[in-house]
Amino acid sequence: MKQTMPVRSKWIWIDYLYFLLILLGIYFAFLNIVPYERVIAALSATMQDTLWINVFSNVPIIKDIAGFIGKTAIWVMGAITWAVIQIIETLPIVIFSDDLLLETIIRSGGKNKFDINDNDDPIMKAAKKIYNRLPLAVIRNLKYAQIFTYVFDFMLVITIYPPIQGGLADFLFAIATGNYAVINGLNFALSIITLFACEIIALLIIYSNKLVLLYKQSRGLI
Amino acid sequence: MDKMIEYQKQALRADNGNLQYKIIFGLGAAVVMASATTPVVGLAIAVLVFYRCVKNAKSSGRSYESIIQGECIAHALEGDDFKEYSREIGYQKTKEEIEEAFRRNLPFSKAAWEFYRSIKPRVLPPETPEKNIERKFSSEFKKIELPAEQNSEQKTQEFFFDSTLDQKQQVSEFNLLDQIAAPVSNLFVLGVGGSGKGILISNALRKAKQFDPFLKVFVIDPKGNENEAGYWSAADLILKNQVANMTSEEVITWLDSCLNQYQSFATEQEINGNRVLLIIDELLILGHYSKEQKYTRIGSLIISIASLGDVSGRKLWLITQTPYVGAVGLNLSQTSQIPWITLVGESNQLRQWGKALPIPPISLEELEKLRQESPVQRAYCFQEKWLPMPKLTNYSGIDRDLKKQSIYVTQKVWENVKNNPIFKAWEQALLNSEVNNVKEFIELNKFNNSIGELLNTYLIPFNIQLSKKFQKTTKLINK
Repeated sequence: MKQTMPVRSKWIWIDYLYFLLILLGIYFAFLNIVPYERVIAALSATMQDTLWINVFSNVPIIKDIAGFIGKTAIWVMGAITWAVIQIIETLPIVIFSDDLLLETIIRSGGKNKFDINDNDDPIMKAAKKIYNRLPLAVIRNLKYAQIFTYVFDFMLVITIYPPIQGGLADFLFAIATGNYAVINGLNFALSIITLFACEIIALLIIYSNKLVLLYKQSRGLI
Repeated sequence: MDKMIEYQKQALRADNGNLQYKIIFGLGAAVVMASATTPVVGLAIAVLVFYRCVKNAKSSGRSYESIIQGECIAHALEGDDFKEYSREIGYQKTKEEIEEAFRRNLPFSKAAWEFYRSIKPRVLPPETPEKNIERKFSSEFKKIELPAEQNSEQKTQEFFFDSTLDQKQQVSEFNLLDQIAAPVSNLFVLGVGGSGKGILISNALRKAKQFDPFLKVFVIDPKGNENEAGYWSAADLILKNQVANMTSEEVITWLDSCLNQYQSFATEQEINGNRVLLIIDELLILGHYSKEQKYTRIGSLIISIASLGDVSGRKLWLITQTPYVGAVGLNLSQTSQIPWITLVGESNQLRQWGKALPIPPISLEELEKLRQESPVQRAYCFQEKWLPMPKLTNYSGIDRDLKKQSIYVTQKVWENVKNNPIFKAWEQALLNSEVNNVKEFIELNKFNNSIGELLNTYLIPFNIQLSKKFQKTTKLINK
């Protein structure tokens, strides 16, 4: 039987829009890495000066190379921290939007791998119970992870992007006295973007992807 | 199985609440409150927000687990998904799932919560109704509290009891309506005119609707008596006609059109996920004409609902004055799966029905004793037991025992009628006339039959009211 290769659908205007949306997502992602990078940099700055650091910082060429490597390492660490946090925050959206993944979770979670017998040893019973619940553990603890991540994220953005110069005490004072002019609107906006941008972009990409597929189906392009 | 997985997916998606926004805006509010009041208040709010979110996450986690394991799904489904799922698994299973979800303290969707509210009386703690009533009964309308582990919003169970009745009667009423209508099942209601069939059915109808919000009621009323319109006011579609004034051909044509409309109504409701209850009043007269015209459709319909109704969710209540069902093309063996409730006002009624009555025998003395125990001097037999009839709300326009208009419906009818321009014109004419009462007014004006009948129906019950108004107007004119 002759097999035909699946026909790749032609790029149309809606694909370009989708591509632009992904670019926008990447831009916001990079923008979002900055606060995490700053936190890593602040943590790194607290490191005590060591002999090796003093030596390298006084050698002209090595100083520049070491500085570049250090900054890159800080950025990479910041990006990793950002990625971990954003994955936890967007995981529920991804899981609940993915039909196949959800089906696999339901199928694997709905049946026990190990039957628990009455004559089982209590430790064995507990172990079987825990093992049987493992597929569910991810989805069950999803929201706990979300809570802790968002609380951490909130504290991070309020530190990196303080809504007012001088820290929280001044912010409280400005609100209490009604002196709103001293509030930094840009930092406030950046805080919101850092907290929710990835999630909103993930949602937009998922729904846009569905829309693109439907549009192409309606035009007989796939 | 695949369909069930789709419902599980929908339930999981529906249960995915916006926890992240609650945390962030909660913490933001805590910061603002800290500035507006003191940092301690802000900190307390932040802790509270955190605690609430963790609690929410915990119950969501349990909900996810029960959905994935297929133990409870209904509680998380919203709107149409809930309705569709309920239709798929059946009412009883939905009820069990919702009760189980409630017991596990899982978060409810709006649709599930509404369903739960409709079945609340069925999830009372495992005590006898007598005990509940004994514990909480007083002279006022009472509220029965659920156990302390249920939250305050879910605590209150309202059972409205008439303070004029004693406890025994209250319990009896509770049991009777509960048995007939919650959940609704097929039923023959037997009793001669004035035995209380209409009152029983009108109360049971309301109970059934309260118990099952997805129940739609279709009524065929061949009597068409306006005074009894209140019986059916809780129904969704009522087809009525005064067959007493019609020829047998006309009756059968009308009946056939009723059955056509019922079929369309039932099909439409089933598509929408609802269940349908058909109530046929005065089966005796319809049976008589059906026999005369050799019309077998009504008999076939009764047999098909009685035999297959459970599959489609269709139910049937038949109201008749005689146990002889042969007239509609039925026999007792064909309808043996339909339980009978027999209402008896006068003891000698039983003798007339004789052995045709599908009920356990009772001596006239025992029957008389039960009648005396009843506040309405009636007894009923249901599920092989004879009991005194409790007092039920009269939703019709007339109290046949006291031969006077029932306050409940006359007020209702009055509301409808008093704004009618024709009625206002009559009323004005009456007030401007020199008659002393409504009867004189009708005789004086020699109204034709239909107008006279309407005036008799609507004006005479308010004779006193109008007379007072008339006297007042006369006094004013005299002055």
